[in-house]
Amino acid sequence: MIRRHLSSPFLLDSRVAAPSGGAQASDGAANIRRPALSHRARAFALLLLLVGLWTGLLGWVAEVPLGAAFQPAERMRFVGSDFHVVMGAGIENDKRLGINAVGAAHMALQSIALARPIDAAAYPVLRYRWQDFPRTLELSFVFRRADQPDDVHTVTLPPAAAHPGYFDLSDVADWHGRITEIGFAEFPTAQLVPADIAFRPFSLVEAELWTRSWRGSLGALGTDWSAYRPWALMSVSALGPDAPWPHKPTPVLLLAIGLTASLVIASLVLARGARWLGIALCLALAGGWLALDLRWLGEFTDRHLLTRELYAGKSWRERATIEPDTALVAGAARVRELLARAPAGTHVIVAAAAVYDVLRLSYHLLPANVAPMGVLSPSNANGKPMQPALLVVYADPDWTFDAARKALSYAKSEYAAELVYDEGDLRIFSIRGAAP
Amino acid sequence: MSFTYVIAWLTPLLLGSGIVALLTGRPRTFAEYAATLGCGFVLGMLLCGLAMAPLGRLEVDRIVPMVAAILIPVGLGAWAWVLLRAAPNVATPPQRTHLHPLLWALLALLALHAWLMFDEILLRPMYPWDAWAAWLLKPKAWMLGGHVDRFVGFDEWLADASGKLRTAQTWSYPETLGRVAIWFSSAWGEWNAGVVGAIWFALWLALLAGCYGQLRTLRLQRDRALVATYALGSLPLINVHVALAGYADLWIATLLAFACLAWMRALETGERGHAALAVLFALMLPLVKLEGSIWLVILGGAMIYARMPPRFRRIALALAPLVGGGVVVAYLLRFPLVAPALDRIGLTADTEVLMTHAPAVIGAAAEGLFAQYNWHLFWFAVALTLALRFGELRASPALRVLGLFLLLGCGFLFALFVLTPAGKWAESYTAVNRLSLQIVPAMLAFAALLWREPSVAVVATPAPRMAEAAPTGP
Repeated sequence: MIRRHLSSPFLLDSRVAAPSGGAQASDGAANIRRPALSHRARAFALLLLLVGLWTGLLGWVAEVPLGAAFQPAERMRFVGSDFHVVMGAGIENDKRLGINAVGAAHMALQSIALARPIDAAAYPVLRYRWQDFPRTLELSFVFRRADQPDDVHTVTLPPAAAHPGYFDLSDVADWHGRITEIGFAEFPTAQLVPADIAFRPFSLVEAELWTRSWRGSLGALGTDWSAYRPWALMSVSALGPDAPWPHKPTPVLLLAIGLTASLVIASLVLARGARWLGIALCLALAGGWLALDLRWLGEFTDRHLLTRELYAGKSWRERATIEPDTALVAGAARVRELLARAPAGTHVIVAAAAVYDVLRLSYHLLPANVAPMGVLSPSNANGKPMQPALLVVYADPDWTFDAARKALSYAKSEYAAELVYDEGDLRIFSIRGAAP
Repeated sequence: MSFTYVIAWLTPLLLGSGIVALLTGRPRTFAEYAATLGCGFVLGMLLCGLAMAPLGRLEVDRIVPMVAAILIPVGLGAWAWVLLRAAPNVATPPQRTHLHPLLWALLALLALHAWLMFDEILLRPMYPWDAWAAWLLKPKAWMLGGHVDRFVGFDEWLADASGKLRTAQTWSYPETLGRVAIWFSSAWGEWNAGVVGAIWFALWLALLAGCYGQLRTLRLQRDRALVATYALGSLPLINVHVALAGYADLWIATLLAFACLAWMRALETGERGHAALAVLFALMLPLVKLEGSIWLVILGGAMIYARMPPRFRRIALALAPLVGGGVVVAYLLRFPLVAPALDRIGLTADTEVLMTHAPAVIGAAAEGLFAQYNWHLFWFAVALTLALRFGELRASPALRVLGLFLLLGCGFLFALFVLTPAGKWAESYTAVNRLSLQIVPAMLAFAALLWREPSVAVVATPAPRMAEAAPTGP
């Protein structure tokens, strides 16, 4: 028998046993009161169970150790002006450290040598705060350990926005032993932002190292979920792993597990049937989907803002020149100058140590009749027919040229060649096939 | 924007929609127009690209004027035939009901997705790796070089003295997408990443329109079809493939979805035009990307299975595991022909290697599907739909064969990653989600169709072919 308890604030159905005939009249008043009490008790039990479930789930995804306090027991605080500039240029502004120029390789670095080395395991949470940190830069945390004083360890951090960022250093394998120095490094986001236009001034406000706590772990989780994630070459393959820092479990997993478990528990506690559970799961899934979609739209907007910052308001010809690989674009321009004096359709072969450089330089060199170094199989060096070609070697010392013999060697192959151009990372040879 | 550029957009729309209308009948409702224009535009784009292939070393300036002069009359002819042959409109006027505010909110969210993708496409130079290294390298070379040069293998290129042959790391990849890109680019007059990326945005719109229209014509209620369309349009990895345009996976996904939906209509109505359209979309698959051949084989196999008389189906069902098991045994025993053929696709009989890598590969694949940001809660929704609507699946022979195809497709992806060196791409997340993307729109359409309310007319009088198929469905 199904009885609807209109007195319940939840307006829920519950299945109760049909009362026996004799007891019905005498226990009438009790029958009216008892289910209401029972219902309140169920609702209360459900509330407790759900609070426990979600607390446990949040603790699990945030990797909070059992028995951790809510607030950190110890905090080691450094204001921005405690750090000194190692690379780039900066100026103290109140207690902040304003960074107004980058150094070599478009990089800025600030660090502080700790008065007393600290135990890494005791301080697993980093809290950091910046002002006006630009989307064009990637942020890294650097540290030095007492056992490896000559090595600097680096880990990419989620970029900090206007709010403080938190990072769980226990996810970093190198964060152990005694720490003697900490700092931050900033450089243009690789393969996304042209290095020469990446820098904008910003300030380091403060950094803190915390002992383990719920607040620190939840902060690290929140930062991981909400931080700006720049586009990466990986983005077309996987969203999540495309961000270059160690990750926490995603809200996708939390919502899927949490909502399913909550509704299964609710259906059991409230004695609901399979149909109720099915409808509730569908509604929860729709709500979860919308929540994730709003989060994704926020992330997408964040990514798009960088695109607007770099390219909006410019013509296509201007935008086409703003490529992240500035050095390769410059190299391609130099090759084109040489090709302007060569016959149309001249074969151009591109070689480099990195596959990215080979393919990217080939793309920038179009419309030249260009090919990757893979065309040069050992058989070409052994006399297989080939037309004369220009070989563009970019940043690859494995190609060695013997000027006296006019022979260019790579791996076990040797080609008859003449050096046409040699400056910096770029060397250009005219090759004619197998070396005599 | 020039007249030629407008013609470059109108030609595929006219040609493709004309062919779709010719095969499936004159559209009369909003949903039918959405299906005709969505499916037609994708078909038309690919046909425009393919129409260039026989013309040889064409000057890029002449591509659209020359090809459109042939294709536009074909499209107009198809539409004229459809409009003149169509029966007078006897349909009852549709009942106009207002959209629920929540559905308006979903449409507003979709519009926000669309704006972000479109603006990203217009502004950013070509970004993702395979866009500039593989799929759009050829059209850029053609556009800047002024001619549609032939791409050849390395040795032929090295020995060529004419300077008119080109090569690339990906010289043997199908050229259809490159030809679609040069179609629009040449009409624009210069190489512009925004112009090329806009094709992917149009593909996304066509995918949504085509899926919505086909789902509606397959009797899914309007509100549910809208929810399914929003779900498809909001999937993050699909958004990324549009915003960072240049990969071929979304094309395969669209072709598979359209082929499956047309096939569903053919199965449920018994009309040959829909079957022809499904076959047409399926045949396009290998012309877009190499793995399209495998999808064609799987989809073709499922289509043939659906056409078999019940007795042959029973035989096929009995033989399938025997053949599959036999192939595995033949491979493990290194039988001639079988073992070398499977070696060529990278299958490994080294069970120790398989057992070592399989857990990591399966874990990475599961993470990509269920725990990363790629798919919202899509795969959970599919599982929940199957659990809640299994009765509808059992009751619909057409959905059962579509489910069989999807199951075989998932099996193919599983085998690809677990039994071949492609597993390393799964472990590094570089391929597992992109290959899953290819099946997602078809899977979403399948799940959406499970939410149809049973139609009294259809339940009472099923189409003859389906009545025949019902007792022995998978």
